[in-house]
Amino acid sequence: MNDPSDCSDVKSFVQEFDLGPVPFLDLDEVVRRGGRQRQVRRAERWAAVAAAAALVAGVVVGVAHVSGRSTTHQPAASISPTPTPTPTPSPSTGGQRLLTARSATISATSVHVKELLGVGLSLDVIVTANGAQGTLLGQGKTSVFLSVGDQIYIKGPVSMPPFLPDSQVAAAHGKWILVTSIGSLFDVHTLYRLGWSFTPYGIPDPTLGSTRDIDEIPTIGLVTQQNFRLYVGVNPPYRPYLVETTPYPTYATYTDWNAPTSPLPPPPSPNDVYVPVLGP
Amino acid sequence: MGASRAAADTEAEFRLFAIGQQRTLYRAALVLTADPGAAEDLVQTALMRTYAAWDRLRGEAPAAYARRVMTNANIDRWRRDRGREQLTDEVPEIESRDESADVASRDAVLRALVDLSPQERRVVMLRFLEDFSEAETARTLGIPAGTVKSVTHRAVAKLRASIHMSAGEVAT
Repeated sequence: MNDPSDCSDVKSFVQEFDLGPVPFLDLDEVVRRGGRQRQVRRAERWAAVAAAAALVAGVVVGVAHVSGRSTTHQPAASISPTPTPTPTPSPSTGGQRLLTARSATISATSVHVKELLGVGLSLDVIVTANGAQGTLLGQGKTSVFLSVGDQIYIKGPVSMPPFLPDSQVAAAHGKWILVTSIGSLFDVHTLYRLGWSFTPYGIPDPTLGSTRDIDEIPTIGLVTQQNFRLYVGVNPPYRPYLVETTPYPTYATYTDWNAPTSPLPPPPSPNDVYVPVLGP
Repeated sequence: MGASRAAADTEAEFRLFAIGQQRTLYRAALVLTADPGAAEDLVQTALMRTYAAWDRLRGEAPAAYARRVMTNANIDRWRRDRGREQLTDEVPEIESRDESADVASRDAVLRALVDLSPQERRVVMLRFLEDFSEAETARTLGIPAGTVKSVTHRAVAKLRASIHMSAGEVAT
């Protein structure tokens, strides 16, 4: 009954009705406003890179300073839980907290990401600066996920219609499938990309939400939309720990920061890669 | 010089894409909103966000991306406006009427779509315009497959009733 083949009358009703004159599309306005978002995005990228560089530079200067004094005996300040004498000003606004969370992500060496991408589809990966590896789970099946050499591949039975239909998984015949159009997967491509995935695209600075302890770590929510919250640590290094969206059952957790990781394998050889046929 | 040339090429490429997809997107937007004004805005929003993400879409299917943006933007719009939405037995005046069969047909389609709930329209769009299966629709909307099934059943019944009613009107 509900099979579209049984609903040809309804199908043609919506597919074939006369649209009449299509409204004027102000392409100049589209390009102008879309272009502005592109520029903002680029500027934000540079700001994060600069912030990350400043952070690294600060660490380097700090290390140099400490090593310069290393001939004299100093108290074991490095293991002291007390704050450093000249602490970095803590971020106060939502925008600053978001920027420091991005910097903390980009400057990390690895993080364990578990992400629910939608109903019955989840990702469990270790993300590093150069790529990511782990598993993609869907409907009780598991595929291997690999991001290496600026490409994403999966191998296994998990499909993701409409971006990767069952037919394309079958056509791969067990080869690595090159993933080209699933934004959520690209978010965990590398630490750099992960750092840019915390807020929905084109949304202005977040506002501060409620505080919450996650695994005994005090965090604060950054609210970018009514249905989207990112929880970041309230103390240095201000890392992100959780993203939640509602009403969609989507979340991501970030744990095991800087834990040792296995080296990434080399990219699959072209003969072992299937490029899916996608698109309308 | 090289960068501005590349930017110009990108923009030209996008403009071609937008012009080519406009009708398809507008039809989907009409099904989603049942409101020509809102559909027009939705197409504009979808294209704007697609252009904003154009650099990241290399190798992807931008049309699929644009439709995904449109579906999400329509959910956002519905969520934003639902407090203000008024249910009424009166179908809004769609547009000026004339005796043309096309206009009457379009009017009938919009009236039929107005009778559907926003969720029913989303399901109809994905199932009958995008040809998604129940499982694909469920995954895309983040709702159980059983819900897709029941919503489809309800929507089809309503649309059939509208189709038959408008056919009756035409006959008389």
